[in-house]
Amino acid sequence: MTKYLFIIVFGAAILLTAIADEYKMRHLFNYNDELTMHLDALKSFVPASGILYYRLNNTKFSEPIIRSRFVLAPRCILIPENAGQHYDTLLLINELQDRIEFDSTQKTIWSYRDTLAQYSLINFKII
Amino acid sequence: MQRNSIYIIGMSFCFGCISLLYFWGLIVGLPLVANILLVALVCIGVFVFLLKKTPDTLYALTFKQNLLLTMGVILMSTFCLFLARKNGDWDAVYIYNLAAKFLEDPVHWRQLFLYKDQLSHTDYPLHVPALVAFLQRITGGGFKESVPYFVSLFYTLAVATIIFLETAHVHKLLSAIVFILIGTNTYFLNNGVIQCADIPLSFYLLLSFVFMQHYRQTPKEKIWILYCGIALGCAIWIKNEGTLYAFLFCIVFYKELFAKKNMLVLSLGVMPFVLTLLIFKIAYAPTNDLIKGLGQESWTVKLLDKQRYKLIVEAFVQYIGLYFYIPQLAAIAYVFLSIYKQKTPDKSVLIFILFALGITIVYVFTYQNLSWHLQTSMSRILLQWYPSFWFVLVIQLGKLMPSPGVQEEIDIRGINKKP
Repeated sequence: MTKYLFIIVFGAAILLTAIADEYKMRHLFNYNDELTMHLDALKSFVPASGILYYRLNNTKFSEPIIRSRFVLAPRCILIPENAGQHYDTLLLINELQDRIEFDSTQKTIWSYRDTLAQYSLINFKII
Repeated sequence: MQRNSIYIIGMSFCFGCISLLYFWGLIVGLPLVANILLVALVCIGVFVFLLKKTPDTLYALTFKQNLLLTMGVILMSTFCLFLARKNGDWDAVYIYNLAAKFLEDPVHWRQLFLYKDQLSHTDYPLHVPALVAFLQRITGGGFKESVPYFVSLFYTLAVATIIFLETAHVHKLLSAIVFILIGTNTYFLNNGVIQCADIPLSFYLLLSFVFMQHYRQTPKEKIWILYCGIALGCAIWIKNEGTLYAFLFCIVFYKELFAKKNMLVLSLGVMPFVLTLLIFKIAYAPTNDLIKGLGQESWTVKLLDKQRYKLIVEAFVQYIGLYFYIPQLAAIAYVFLSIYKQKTPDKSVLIFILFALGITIVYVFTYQNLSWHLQTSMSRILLQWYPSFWFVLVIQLGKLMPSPGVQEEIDIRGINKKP
């Protein structure tokens, strides 16, 4: 039995840490309360399913911006193409991934330019 | 080889096989149940083969070594839990976990390759995403956070453990020091838990060196070449750099790998991965950034631009000083000791110079802003060599200054007691 002891400890350490990680991420860990608040606000005025346009202003995620975008295009999420170059935006994408169902069946990409910035259109479904 | 090493290596080989089988399953439209059965059969086969065929001259670890190993693994897991972040880090979010999400969908997974931006790198091989996607599907998607974390954590702990287990018989003290250094290196642990592919790549590269070391000790055992082929195959199926490293590894160990008697076993190990990579690159992946970039600008201009070389060397020195100063000091000590003992450095040490040259060429021809490219990737490139470097260095230092209490060998099953 002792010859298997280490590998049992090794496996148990990985499994228990992974379970603890799941708990930590679900219950203890929150990047940004403000983001969560905005996402909650988002859920309150959009249908439970569908696609959202979500305009990000790179580092500022104010509710008026979200609302204004819903007036224009209420069914899609918009993320700037250069999103990853802004750490805050990256955090928001993290939050989005956690809070929305990634719907690969509807995955399409359009890139276009408007007067402000270049965007990618990504379809998501809120859960 | 240590029995504990065999289990860990078996698990890592199974991960490689799962990734291949799942990707093939997606291509041919295999139902999940059939894929699970196939994976189970192959994994059982891998373990049975490893346990029966691996030359198992075991080195008995002392009580203190066992204690250090067990405590080390527990402490590293705890560190990793503190360092863990939601959805991993930048590359994990935009490359590996994104690809995994697509691969979870058996019908629309090809939509992944619609991503043409420079951030998603859909030309990267799919070892980690396919593995994560398979595990997510069989766990019903109920452990969104912990599945990619579990994969990352396995490779992180496995790197430190394999180095310790496979060097403990060479030099007790050095192996313990290196194990502690790796286990307390927060840069290494942090990169281990951010769910990227650098640590898995470094792990398979390390395995290639371990198997080559065993083969050089017992050249009659062709099995090491088979394992080496599988490890190299897994490396090339993880990241594009893996192909470069495998190529350079094959050049340096040409005599061992391509000996007439070894050709067949090497092919058996590496070919499934090479064929899958070729199919992936030809049929699915968009053109690689580097190759695409070559057509945009004159490569001769870049090749002759001295400023680019200066930037690369400066970044190299900067990141070694920042994150890898202890390996740097150890390398200097090894050079001085070699001169003192009048020994020529082994070719397994020189391979790292080749790696550096290979990566320099990649940076010279990159079409991206060179400073940005170096800033975002150089430290992780060095990290990919970090475990192999320690392994090779401990083996070589062990030869230069043999440990007085070298382990006695215990041949548990008597396989090696040949007349």
